[in-house]
Amino acid sequence: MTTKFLRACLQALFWIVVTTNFALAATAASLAPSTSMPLDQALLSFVICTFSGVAALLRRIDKELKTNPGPLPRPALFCAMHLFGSWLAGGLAFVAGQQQHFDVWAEIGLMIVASYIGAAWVEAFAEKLSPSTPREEMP
Amino acid sequence: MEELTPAAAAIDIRNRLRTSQAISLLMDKPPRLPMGRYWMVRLYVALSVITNCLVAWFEPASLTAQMLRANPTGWWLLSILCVLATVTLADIFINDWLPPQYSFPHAREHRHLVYIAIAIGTFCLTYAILKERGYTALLLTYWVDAGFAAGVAALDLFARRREFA
Repeated sequence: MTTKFLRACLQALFWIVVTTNFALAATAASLAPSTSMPLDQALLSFVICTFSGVAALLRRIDKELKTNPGPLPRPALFCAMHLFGSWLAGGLAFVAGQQQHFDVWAEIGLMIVASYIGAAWVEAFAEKLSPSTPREEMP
Repeated sequence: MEELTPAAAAIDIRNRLRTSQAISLLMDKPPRLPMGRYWMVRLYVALSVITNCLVAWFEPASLTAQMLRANPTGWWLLSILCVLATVTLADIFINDWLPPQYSFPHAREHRHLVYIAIAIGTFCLTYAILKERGYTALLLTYWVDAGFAAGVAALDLFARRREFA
């Protein structure tokens, strides 16, 4: 039941990411026609956000494996939680940076920090909804 | 002394064993791999980052140097990458090459974070170059290095934890 609920939450989160980013991109394009949102920069910012989410994911996996060595509980959900959070927050940060004409380093810093915090926040939210399955104690 | 039932005695022995194992884990240093995994790839990543920094410093026509002329704040990022690469080299030298009595535990424990930071930093460098000059195929070399850094971060984390489990 909890896993189903978590999956539904993640699906909802995925569509929120997609629709919000598309809506913001469309708004940016319609309100400021001179502001172009180059595809190559958008793709590279997507990669940076993914890697920032992967950093949060690796940190969490390290913590998990330190306390409970063995296979991870629900690894696909585990990864999806982090990546969706990082894409959501990083996408919003990228759009905001482009809209506000931030300096390139400010934009990069904003994207990295936002996507890391987004990944950690969604992971904490999901952990609250469905804590990791208790595994057998160490001998 | 109170006589224990067989079941209670078994639990008592198990608890004592658990305590002794916990004490030995606390007292002893973590086991050490005979030769760190992926050290050659890690060495390549570190040397590649240092090479990129040196090229940016000594070759004004390089992509990074051109970007840094327009955005001098990027020197901070390059300095951070240099520091991370130096930590990586020290980690390889001390933890993988020197005899077991020498160790650099902090670098070993947080190795995955160092490599993922190198990958993110390299991608950030290319983002600034892309924004400054537009796409060029020369960026592929940076992306391959960043991909290797991220890959080795994940693989090494799992290998290390599996080894110590």
